Amino acid sequence: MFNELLDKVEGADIWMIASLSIFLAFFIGVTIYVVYVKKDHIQKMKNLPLDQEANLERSAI
Amino acid sequence: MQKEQFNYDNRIVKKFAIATVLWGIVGMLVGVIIATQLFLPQANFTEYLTFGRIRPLHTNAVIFAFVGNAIFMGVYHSLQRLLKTRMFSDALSNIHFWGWQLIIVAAAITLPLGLSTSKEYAELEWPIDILIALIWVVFGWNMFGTIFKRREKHLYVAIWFYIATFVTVAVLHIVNSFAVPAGLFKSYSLYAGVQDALVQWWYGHNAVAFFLTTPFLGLMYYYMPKMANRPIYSYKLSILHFWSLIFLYIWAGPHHLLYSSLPDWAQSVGVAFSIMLIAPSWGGMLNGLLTLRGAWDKVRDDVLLKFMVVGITCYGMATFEGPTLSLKNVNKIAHFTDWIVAHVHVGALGWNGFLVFAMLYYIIPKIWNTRLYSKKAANSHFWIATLGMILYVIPMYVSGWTQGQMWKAFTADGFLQYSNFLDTTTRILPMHMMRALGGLLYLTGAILMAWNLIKTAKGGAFIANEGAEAYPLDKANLHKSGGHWHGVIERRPVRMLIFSLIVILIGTLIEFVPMFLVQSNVKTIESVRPYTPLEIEGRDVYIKEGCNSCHSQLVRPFRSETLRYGDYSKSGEFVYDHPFLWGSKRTGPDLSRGGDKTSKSYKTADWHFNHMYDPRSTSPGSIMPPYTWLFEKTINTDKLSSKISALRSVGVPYPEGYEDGALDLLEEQAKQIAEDIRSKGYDIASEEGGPTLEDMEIVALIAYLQKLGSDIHPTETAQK
Repeated sequence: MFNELLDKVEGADIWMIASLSIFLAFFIGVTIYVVYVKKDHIQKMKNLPLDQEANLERSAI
Repeated sequence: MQKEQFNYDNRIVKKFAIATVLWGIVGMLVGVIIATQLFLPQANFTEYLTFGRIRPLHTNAVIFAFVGNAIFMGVYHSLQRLLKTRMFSDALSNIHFWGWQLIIVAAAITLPLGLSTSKEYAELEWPIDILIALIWVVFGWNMFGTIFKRREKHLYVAIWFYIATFVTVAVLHIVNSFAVPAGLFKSYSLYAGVQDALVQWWYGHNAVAFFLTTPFLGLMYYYMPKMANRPIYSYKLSILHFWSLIFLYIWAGPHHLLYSSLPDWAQSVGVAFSIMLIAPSWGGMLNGLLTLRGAWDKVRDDVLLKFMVVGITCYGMATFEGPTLSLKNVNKIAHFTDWIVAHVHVGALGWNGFLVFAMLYYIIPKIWNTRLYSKKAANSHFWIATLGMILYVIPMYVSGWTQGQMWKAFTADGFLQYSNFLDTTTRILPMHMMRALGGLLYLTGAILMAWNLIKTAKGGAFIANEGAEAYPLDKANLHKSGGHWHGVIERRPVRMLIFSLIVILIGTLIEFVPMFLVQSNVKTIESVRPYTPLEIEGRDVYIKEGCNSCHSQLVRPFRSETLRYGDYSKSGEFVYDHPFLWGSKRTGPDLSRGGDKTSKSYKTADWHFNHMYDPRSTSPGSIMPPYTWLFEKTINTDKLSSKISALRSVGVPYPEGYEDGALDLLEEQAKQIAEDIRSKGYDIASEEGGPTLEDMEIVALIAYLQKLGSDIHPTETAQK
């Protein structure tokens, strides 16, 4: 069905393939990063919203 | 290194919180009113409060006033704490707050007055659009200023979502709002027909994505861990789904235009990316829900978590349904029906509403340094709102499915089973009544919350400046080279902004460039002519009254539609349509073949005359309000010249000097229509000093309605 649609517009296949390739390349790049990123960095980032209160002293000014 | 003392600005959070509650109640109230109008036409009080005019008021109030203020409340509250610093500038915070409220008030005044561009969720006219752009820049300036003076090296994932929101909304708003003014509150879109449709739904869909989704995901990533007192389930997943989400979302707009005259390739791209979107969307939902793994028992006692869990679950349901609706075989049933209304309300009432309620219940006691006044009332709110949502959504699904099926039903002999559109309207009225009741319950819950929050605030002491301390940022090491490429983006807000911008521009450009540059994408039709002066005025009445809120102008290539309305729509028909008026909902029938005499939906001038004065005289059971004021007002031709000149500058080929004879042409055509109506034995006695029939606005509107589709079969139309 897709071939039938694409045949109607000249050059449409290039856009389709280009868009998919760009997305895949970017997605693979981010995936590789996520796989190899250091655990302690992830741990630190994860705790960012939570650890702040340990450093803070609440007081009304 | 010594810790630095500083304090957080809670005043701005308080202001946005109050505005959220206030505008939320207003937006929901208008929602209940328009829901009532759909089964009780008598509820259309005066010309200023008809469904066509206040439906945009409801959508704008809920999206930009209720949800918008809630986003800013959450961002100003969380950003300061995540970056361990006060907002960059109190002055900018206040300009942002008051500027945004001014925009809302301007919308609340102009929309009932009928000053509208007709483009969905972008109805506000150009002076307000400029103000929105300026205030948005103030917000961005303040946010980036705060990021630059931060005491925390890394930008938590919530802030990435805020940055992507800021940059994308700016691009969407500016590109979609390009128009040429023809007066202080009148403009014509730069784009025409199918191109305007593509730009509008690129905007419309991504308003959902980058105003109703990405900021809320950011807020979820901050408030879910805070409320559950545990870190987010997977930070890695948050990185992956952030980039995938913003990359994919921007492409999906064309799924709003399936089976339209948008080229097939663009529709297919829209569908493909919509289906892919399910992955990052569910990545976000699962990340939110799994944060509670091993702590689900907390949900039983904690009303905040109840709101969060149901809200995030609604996000999951809506984002599963979205890709499903973008499948062509599902879309052909659902499009133009109440199914879409159900879909958006799962998102708006469930995802946005419930997250906002949870944030308010969390933030208000914190900044007033107290406890929530009544947990019991908050619990009641949760159940009332849930029940209201169910009562809203289920009838709308039933209604949408019923109408979609009835439109397509054939008899054994191959004729339309429900050839009178009204049969499908009257069938779903009980569903509309239940929906209004659901909306009323949801509103009641919000009022209960307002009472609870006021009591909470009264019982506490507001902390305007909340003291805090943190180590200063080691600026020497901040931009130290090395580390992973993504780590470098994470620490550099400007790079984050540029990367986000590139990511969203890829999809935008690949869809827009061929659409605007390749001639074959918009095929012209020789017999299609620009609007006459009277038709221009009539079209503007159509826009002013918001007729496109209930009537489409797009016949899809199905036998059930061509039999009911006439020829299916072609892109060449719309080349002079600035803006396009295809609509997104068929509360009433399609109007695009109303002027084609070969079509079954053709209507005579006297039919329109009677129908607009009293819809039920020609269409028993109709829920359309009467438009009697069109019979009292004279066609306003003051701006005719500037309108023609503005339309010419956006590409409509009116010859030079056309303005000079325009008024004569207008009067001549109006006279013909008035004579036609009189020849059928109808007229209307004008009040003393009032206009005669040929000068009335109704005649301009009839001229426009009879122009629709008349160019397709010009010979047959002229002969009859």
